[in-house]
Amino acid sequence: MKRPSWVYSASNLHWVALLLIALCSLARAESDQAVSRIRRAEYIISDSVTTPPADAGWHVIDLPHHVPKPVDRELVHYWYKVSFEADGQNEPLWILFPQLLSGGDVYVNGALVGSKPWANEYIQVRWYLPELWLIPPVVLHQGTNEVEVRLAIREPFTSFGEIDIGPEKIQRSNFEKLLFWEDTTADISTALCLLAGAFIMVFWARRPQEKLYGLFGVCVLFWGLRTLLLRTPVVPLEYFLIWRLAYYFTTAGFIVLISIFMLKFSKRSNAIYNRVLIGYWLVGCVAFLTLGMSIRHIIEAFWLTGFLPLNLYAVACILIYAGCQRTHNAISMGLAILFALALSVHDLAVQEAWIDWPEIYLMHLGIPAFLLVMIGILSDRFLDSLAQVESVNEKLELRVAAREAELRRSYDQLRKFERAHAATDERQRILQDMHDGVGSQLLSTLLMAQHTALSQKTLVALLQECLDDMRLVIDSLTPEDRDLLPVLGNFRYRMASRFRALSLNFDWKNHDMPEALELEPDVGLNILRILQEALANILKHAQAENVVVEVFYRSESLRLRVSDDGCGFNEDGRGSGRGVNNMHNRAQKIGATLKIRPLAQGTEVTLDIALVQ
Amino acid sequence: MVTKVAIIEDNAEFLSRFRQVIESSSEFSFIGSAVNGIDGMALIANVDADAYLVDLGLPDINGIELIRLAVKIRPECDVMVITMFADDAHVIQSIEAGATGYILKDSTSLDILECIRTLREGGSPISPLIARRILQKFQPAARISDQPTPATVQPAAATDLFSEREYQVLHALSKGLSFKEIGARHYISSHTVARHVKKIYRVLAVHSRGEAVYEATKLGILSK
Repeated sequence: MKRPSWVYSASNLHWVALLLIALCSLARAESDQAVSRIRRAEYIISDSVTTPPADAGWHVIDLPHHVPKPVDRELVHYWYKVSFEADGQNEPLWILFPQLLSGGDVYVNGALVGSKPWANEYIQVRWYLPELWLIPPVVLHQGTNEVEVRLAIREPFTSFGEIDIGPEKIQRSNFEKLLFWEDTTADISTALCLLAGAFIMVFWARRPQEKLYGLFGVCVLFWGLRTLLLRTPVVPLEYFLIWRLAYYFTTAGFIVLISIFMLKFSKRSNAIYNRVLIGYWLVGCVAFLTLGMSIRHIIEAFWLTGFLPLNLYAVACILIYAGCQRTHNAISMGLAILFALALSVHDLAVQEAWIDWPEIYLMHLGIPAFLLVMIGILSDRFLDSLAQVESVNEKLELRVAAREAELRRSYDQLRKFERAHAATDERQRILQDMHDGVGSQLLSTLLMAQHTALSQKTLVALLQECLDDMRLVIDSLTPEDRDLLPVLGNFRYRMASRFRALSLNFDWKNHDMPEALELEPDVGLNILRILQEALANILKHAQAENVVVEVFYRSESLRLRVSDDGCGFNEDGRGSGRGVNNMHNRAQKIGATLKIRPLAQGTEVTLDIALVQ
Repeated sequence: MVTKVAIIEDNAEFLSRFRQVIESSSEFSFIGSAVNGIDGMALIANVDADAYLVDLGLPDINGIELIRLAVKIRPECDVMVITMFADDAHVIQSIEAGATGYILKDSTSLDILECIRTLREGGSPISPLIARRILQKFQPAARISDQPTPATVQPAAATDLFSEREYQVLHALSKGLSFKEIGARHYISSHTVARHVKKIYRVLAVHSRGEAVYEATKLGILSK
C-alpha cells in the first residue's frame, strides 16, 4: 500500500522540477536576439504633462530601476525616457513592458502609443501584468528614437522595469509567456488555493480531530485571499488602508499558520512559539490599523521580515524532521518548503530592491507544490485507511466463515441427533406396530390354527390380513416425509387391484385434494388401518358389487367415507366383530370419530379426523 | 405376437407360480428360468426374451447386476424386478440400473399379466410412493428441511431432468392419482400416462449412468 503514495510524492517532485525548468525557459526567453532590450534610461521627478526638456536634470540609471521613493510627498510623478535605434526595417516594431507595475502613459517620439491607469489622488494602482503595444510606424524615424513614460508612484519603492523593442512575433510570444507566469499562474494558484482550502475546511469540519489538516486548510485559504487582494490592480484610496491591512493580515497570517503547521507536522508543536507568533502577527496588524500608512515602510521592511527567523525555525524543524524520518511524505514536504522559501526570499529581495532582478513575484508558485504534497499525504492517509478497512473486512470475513463452519458443524450434528432421534422413535413405533398389529395377528392366526380346524379360505384370509398390515406399516415407514397422500395412494392402488381381481367395482374419489397432507405417522397409519379394516370387512362379509371410497380434504378436517351396496349391517356378523371394535379403538386413539350406519342397501363407514394446523 | 418371458428367481414357490401365470395366457410364453445369478447371466446371454423377471435377492449375485447386464446386451428387452414390498429403495435402484417395471411377489395373476402387457406396450407401472421418492430425489432437502443445504454440488432438479409433462405426471402420481385420473386431467389416455412413466424411468437410468460416470471420473476410475 506504500507504493501509490510514493508515486504521488514522486509526481510532486516532478512538478517542482517542471516549474523550475519553466522558470529557466522564462529567463531564457528574455535574452532573445531579435529583440533589443533597453537597460539604460533617464528619469526625472516632474509633474509636467509634457516631456521635460533635456536639460531639466534627468538622471541616468540602469533598468530595472528600483529605489526607495522620496518620502517628502505621498504621490510622486515621474518621467522616464529611453532611446533606441530603429534601422529602417520594414517590420513594425512593438514595445513590451515585462512589468509596468505602476502603469503610465507611454509615448514614442512624443506620440502616445499606450496608456495604463496610474496612481492619482483617488486611486492606487499596481499592475502585475506585462504590456505590449504597437509603435505606429509613422512616429518612428531612422536612427535614434525615444520612448517617454509618464507615471506617478505611491509605493514605497519606485519601480520601473526593462523595456523590449522588437518585431511582433517574438514580442507577442514573450508577452504571452510573461502574461502566463505573471498573471495566469497566479489566477490558477488563487483559484486552487480557495478551492482546496474550502475542501480541506469541509474535510476538517467532518473530522475536527484532524487539526493538522484544518490548519493547512486555513493556511491555503489565507494564501488564496492574500493573492486575490494583492492582485487587485486598482484600489480606491478610501479603501486603501483596509485593503492593505487585509493584505498584511492574510500574508502574515499565512506565514504564522504555515509556521505553526510546519512545527506541528514535524511534531514539535510549541505553545509559546505559537503565542509569540500569533501575538506578533496581531500586534503588527493593530499597529498598522492605528498608525496607518505612515508605518507602511516599517511594516513591510521590518515587521514582515521579522517573521523570517520564526519561519526559518519552523523550516529548520521540518527539514530536520524530514532528514530523520526519511519518509517520502516528510521529504516532499521539506522540499516543498525549501522551494516556497526560495521563492519567498526571491520575492522579498525583489520587493526590497536587494537585487536588480525584474520585479516579478513568484511566491504563488510555491503553493501548488505545497498542495501537491498535501494531496500526497492525504491520499496516503486515505489509502492507509482503505487498506485498514480491507484488512478489517478480511478478518471479519474469515471470522464469519469460521463461525459459519462452526454453525454448520453444530447444525449437522443437530441433524444427526435429530435423525438418530427420529430413527429411535420410528423403531419404537414399529415395535409397537408389530406388537399390536402383524405380531398379534400372526399369533392369533397360529393359535386358531393350532386349536381349531381352519378352512383354507379362512387361513388365507387371515394371512392376507397379516400381509396387508405389514404393507401398511412399510408404506408408512417415512421418518422424514409425513405426507399421507402417497401412502394413501399406494393403499388405493393395492386395494383397487385386489377388488379388480374379484371383479368388484372399486371407486375412489378425492374431493379438493391438497398438494400435501401432513400427519403424524401413527395418525396416518391408524387411518389406513381403519380404512383397510372397513374394506376387508366388505370383502369378507358384505357380498357387495360396488365399493366407493371418498376422501374429503378440508383445511381443518379430513373425512373418509367407505360405502358399499352389500348386504348391510348385521348385528350377528359384522357389527359386533373384532374388526369393528378395532376400528373404534383406533379412531378413539387418534381422536377421530367413526360412524357406521346402514344404507338402504349396504353400509356406510365415515371417519372424521380433525386436523391440527 | 407372443411375448417371451424368462424368470430369474431363487425361490421355487414363486418361480413356479410366476411360471404358471405366464403359461396360463396365450399372449405369453415362458422360455426359461434360472435360480441363481450365475445361471441368470447365462440365461440372459443365451435366451433372447422380451421380458426378464428378476428377483433382487439372489443367493450369489445382486439382481441389480443382472438388470444391468440384460439392459446392456439386450437393449430391446424389458426387465421387471420381482419384489416383496415394492419398497422405494430397491425399486429406484433397479430402475436406475435399467429396469422399467416391478412386480410384487403376491400380485394377483391378473396384475402380473397386466404389468408385462403394459411394459410391452411401452408403458410402466408406478406407485405413488415410488413417484414421490423419484421427485424427492431431485428436490434436495427443500421439502424435508427448510435449512439450506451446505454449498455442495447441487443435484439436478426434477424440472431440469424431465419434460414439463413428465414432471406433471410424476407430481400427480405422487399425490396418489390414478393413471386414468391423470389422463383425464391432461386429455391423454392412461396408456400415454404409462408411457410417460416409462420415459421417466429411462431418464432416471440415463441420469444415474451419467452420475456414475461423473463419480468415476471424479474418483479417477475413468479417465476423461
